[in-house]
Amino acid sequence: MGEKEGLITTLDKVSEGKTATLISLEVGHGLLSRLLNMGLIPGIKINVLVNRGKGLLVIRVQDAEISISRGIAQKLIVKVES
Amino acid sequence: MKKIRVAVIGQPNVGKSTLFNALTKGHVIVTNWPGTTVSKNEGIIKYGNYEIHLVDLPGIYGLTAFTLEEKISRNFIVEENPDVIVVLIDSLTLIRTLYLALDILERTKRVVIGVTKVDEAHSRGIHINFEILEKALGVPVVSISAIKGIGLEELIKKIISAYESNIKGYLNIDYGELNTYIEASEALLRQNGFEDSSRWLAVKIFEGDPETLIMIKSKSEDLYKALMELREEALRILRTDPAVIVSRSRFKYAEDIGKSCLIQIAVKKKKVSKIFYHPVFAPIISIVIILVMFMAAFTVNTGFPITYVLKYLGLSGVSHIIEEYSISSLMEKFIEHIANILESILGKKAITLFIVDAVLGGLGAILLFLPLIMIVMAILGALEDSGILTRLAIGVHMLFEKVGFSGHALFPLSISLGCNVPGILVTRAVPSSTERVRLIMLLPFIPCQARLVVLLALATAVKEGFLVLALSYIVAFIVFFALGYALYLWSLKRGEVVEIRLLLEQPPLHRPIPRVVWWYTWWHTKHFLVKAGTIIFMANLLFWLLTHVSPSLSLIDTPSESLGALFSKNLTPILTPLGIVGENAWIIVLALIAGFLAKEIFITTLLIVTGAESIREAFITIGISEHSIITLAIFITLYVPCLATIATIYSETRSYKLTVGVVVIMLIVAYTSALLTNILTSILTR
Repeated sequence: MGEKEGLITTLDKVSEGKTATLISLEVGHGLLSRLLNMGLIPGIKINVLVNRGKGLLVIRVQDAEISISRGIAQKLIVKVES
Repeated sequence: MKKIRVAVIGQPNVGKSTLFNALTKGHVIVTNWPGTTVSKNEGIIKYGNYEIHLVDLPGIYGLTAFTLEEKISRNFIVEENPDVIVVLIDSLTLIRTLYLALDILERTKRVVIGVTKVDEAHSRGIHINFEILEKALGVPVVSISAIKGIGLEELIKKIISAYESNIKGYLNIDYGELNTYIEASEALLRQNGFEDSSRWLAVKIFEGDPETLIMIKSKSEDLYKALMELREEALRILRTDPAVIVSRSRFKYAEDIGKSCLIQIAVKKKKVSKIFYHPVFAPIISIVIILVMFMAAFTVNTGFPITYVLKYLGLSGVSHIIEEYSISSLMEKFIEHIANILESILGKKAITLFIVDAVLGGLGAILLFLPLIMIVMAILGALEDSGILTRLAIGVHMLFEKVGFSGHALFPLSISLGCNVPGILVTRAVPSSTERVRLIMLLPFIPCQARLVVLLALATAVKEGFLVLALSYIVAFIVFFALGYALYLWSLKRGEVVEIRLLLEQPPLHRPIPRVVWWYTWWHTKHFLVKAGTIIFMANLLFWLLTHVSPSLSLIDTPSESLGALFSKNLTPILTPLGIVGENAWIIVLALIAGFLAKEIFITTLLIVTGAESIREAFITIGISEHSIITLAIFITLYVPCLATIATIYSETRSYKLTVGVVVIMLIVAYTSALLTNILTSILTR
């Protein structure tokens, strides 16, 4: 898992408890506008609350707790912060 | 009286339903969305000289739709142009929920902003300066606590003044480097006759809103091409998807407003309830909670399954009491009592029979199911309001994704255990359209409360009643998931499905609020009442005539010579392979036809035609063996959706092919399963 600070990776590789900055969303248009509208905008900080290496992830974005399937997380490019 | 049309809109979990219900106090009428048969809730408030029509719109994150439900909201705001729009934002997540308000304000300023949950905000150390917020947005802002009734009257007053002041204009958001492109598009739109909301349309083009793009393309192909070229150019030069720039700028705007009007004293952030995400425990907990909840609902409703457990423990006395005081038994007694009173007043005439059997029978069936369905919905309402339901969806997702469904399927599936009609309606919130179609096709296999009542009656006629019931439910769920998986694999093969996705916001957990649970219950039950109720009532009338009119079209009171009997007698050979044979087998056919109209008429038909006092006696009269009753139970569980469900499938899909397809698939599945059951039980009982 991407432990190193500053590492560019996908969200599913960020370990539990870490924070990452969203860089880009490599998803189709319908899903893109939904994610943007939910607050997943490039530049935003994402707290990874739960990530067990497989299955769903739970993230916190702008005070919202969001469950997200791994497939979507794999398409979100992030920079690991701390 | 001046009529004001008001739309109430907000992001999911901002407390919209709570406010809507507090405002309308339950005075809600169900009408259809323009151009569809999809029902919507409309509440009417009379205030002074005004009649305010409030329309409850499904939750949406922004005016770009993702699910079918969201499309309804988006199109209502854009195409129906309500007089005033009430946009709700959540004081607990002000900046994030302000996003939707900005999206709407960019289109029109005929808006009143409602800031919800202000009582809770205080206790969490959140303080909002409403004057600054009002100034920043340029529209009236009202602070609300729907549960405590704070701000409701002020909201109504502000709606009226917004309506009377006839505000024009819109909010201008700075889109930075994208501004020049937006302005160029705006100019193009205006030249081509799109004077109204040209700015908003231009922004939507860069957001890639499919509805806007389709609308423009259908009006002018050339304009569409020119706009697309602009969009391409922006993408090429700015090297960022314009949709990202739009969202980023809008959020920045919301953030700046938040900074100016929001003071938040740091309070401890609630810890995430990790247990709901555990790969092993989450599915187990979810399934256990759901099972316990439904077992409780079923027990209150009918006594099943607790009564059987008690019987096995040798406590048949207690079991009998529970059964006796279950809701379905109480309702039955009540209806029987009224029938007796009517009979004693009117005497045993043909008209009495008509009133008692056809009219009262129909009303009775609706009355009988009303509390059964309400209890199931109330339990789901409590799970939903407390925030537990979306968490259970996670555990369920872990299991479902293995067979091609997502956690989003949990809601339609559980509601279907009450009644298939609202179950199918809530599939609108399922993001994947292919998953939605699969659900609509297969939800009718899920035994509703009506089928539970029929199965319970059948169970009284066999020794191992509990096993028959359990088997029916197990078979139904196996069929649901097996076919669901097969359809999923088939879509995969056709390249339709990409992956099983889950994207769910988890609202904060709290104790359920009784009033909100009641509103939820009522909302879902209403669909049963309006849709299923009408159809059940009519079907009952129709079926009574079918069994009381002779082939020469005169009224008779010997059902065995009726038109329905004649018709059924010709169809009996179909049931022969299932072991349902004999000169009275046609009664089963007739009852099955009745069950197609509405499941519960199956039982009444058997009783009326055989003249028996109990189902056990009816089966003896017809001459059916015990193992054929088991076969029949399986057949009834699966064979065909009731008329109300078929009508809903059609109104939701607008496809005759799919609707007929569902009926055919169900008939085939039911017949095969029944045939297998017949063969197996014959071998086992030999």
